[in-house]
Amino acid sequence: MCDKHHCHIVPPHILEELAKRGSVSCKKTLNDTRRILHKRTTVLNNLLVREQGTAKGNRFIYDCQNQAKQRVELVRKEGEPNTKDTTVNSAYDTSGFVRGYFKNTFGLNSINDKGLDIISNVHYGTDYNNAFWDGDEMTYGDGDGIEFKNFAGGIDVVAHELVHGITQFLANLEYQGQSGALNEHFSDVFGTVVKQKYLGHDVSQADWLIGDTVVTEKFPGIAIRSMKAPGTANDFDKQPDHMDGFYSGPANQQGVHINSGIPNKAFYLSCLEIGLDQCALIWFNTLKTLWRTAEFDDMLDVILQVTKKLQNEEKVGNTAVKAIENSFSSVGISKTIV
Amino acid sequence: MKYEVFIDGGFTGFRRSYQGELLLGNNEKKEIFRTLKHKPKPSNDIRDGFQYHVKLVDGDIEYNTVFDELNLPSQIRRLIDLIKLKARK
Repeated sequence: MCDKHHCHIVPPHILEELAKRGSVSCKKTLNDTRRILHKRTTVLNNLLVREQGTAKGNRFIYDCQNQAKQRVELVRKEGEPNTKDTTVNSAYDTSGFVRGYFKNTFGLNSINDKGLDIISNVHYGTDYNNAFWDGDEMTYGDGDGIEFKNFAGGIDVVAHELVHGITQFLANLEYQGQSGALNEHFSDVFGTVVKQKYLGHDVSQADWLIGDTVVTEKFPGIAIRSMKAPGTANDFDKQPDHMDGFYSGPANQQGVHINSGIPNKAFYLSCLEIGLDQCALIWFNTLKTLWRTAEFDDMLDVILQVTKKLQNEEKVGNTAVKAIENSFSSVGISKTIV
Repeated sequence: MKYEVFIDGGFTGFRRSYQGELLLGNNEKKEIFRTLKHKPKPSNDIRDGFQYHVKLVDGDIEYNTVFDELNLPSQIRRLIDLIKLKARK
């Protein structure tokens, strides 16, 4: 039913149900549908800018020269020495560190596991207070210098954006509502994991902050988000740390950066119980199993299945399932009893 | 010309709102309204991109459009930069 030639006639809600029951091919079809559509519309552009079949996960850093345009000038590529621009070097080094972490830990061959080149654009726009993934590459602003600075300089920011790419190719979580909050959650999870590895911290030394290095002293807070204490990182931080505070309004694509605080807190609590490396393995395998429309309850179902499997294979300790279950229960996400 | 602009999303997830009035030349206004007549095609794969909600009112003419990071026309980006600069002063 779900072979390559038949799945396109199966309605998405049936694919979703089959994906929930463990059909890998249906999950893949569901995830691929929008990506294929998008790819068709951009394939000509891609042909113009990238040699096909030669991708080796190489890094390319472009200087946007403070224009709101990507790929203005290629200033450093894989294997080339440092330039005089510290932002360029930082984007090169940190994206290499993230690539190395996923390769060495999970055997992932770049963003899409097929050696997709890692393209970073720095110095985007004027006073641009943001960093984003556009489906193909990463783009970083310099910040306005008043509240924010150099988004390419934060290892957690770079990891966060690159993981949006990984999520796109693994689960392709839809970017709105709960699935969007999960998309943000996975980027924060691996943002903090990579940051702790980069700094050589363990869970007791870690600050669990996201974006602390891109805010200035004038910024009314210490970071953009806190995984340890969602809602406390700054004066605008509205992240809940429990389902009781779930945001159901329309802003921010139905709260993708808001409700991610709930699973973020569950991740932090899990790490305290079973450590960062076991959690990273569990979360990565969960991301590989989730599907485009997955919500928080689906995440719990899948993460428990994944953890049980890893526990049976003795890849995680025998307290892992209980620890994960307790952590999610602490933030108000519990197994549904029918 | 009266404006209401709010910028939503981004890596930070903070919303910024701007409201006020700008004095623009006729040619500049014409160019902006001409740009706004074209419905922007959304870019589905952007993560952490800003969403720009732009409402412009000039007499009886009113435009209310949402742009994303990759379909924001340069004229509107310049206008938003001007509005942000005005708010900073």
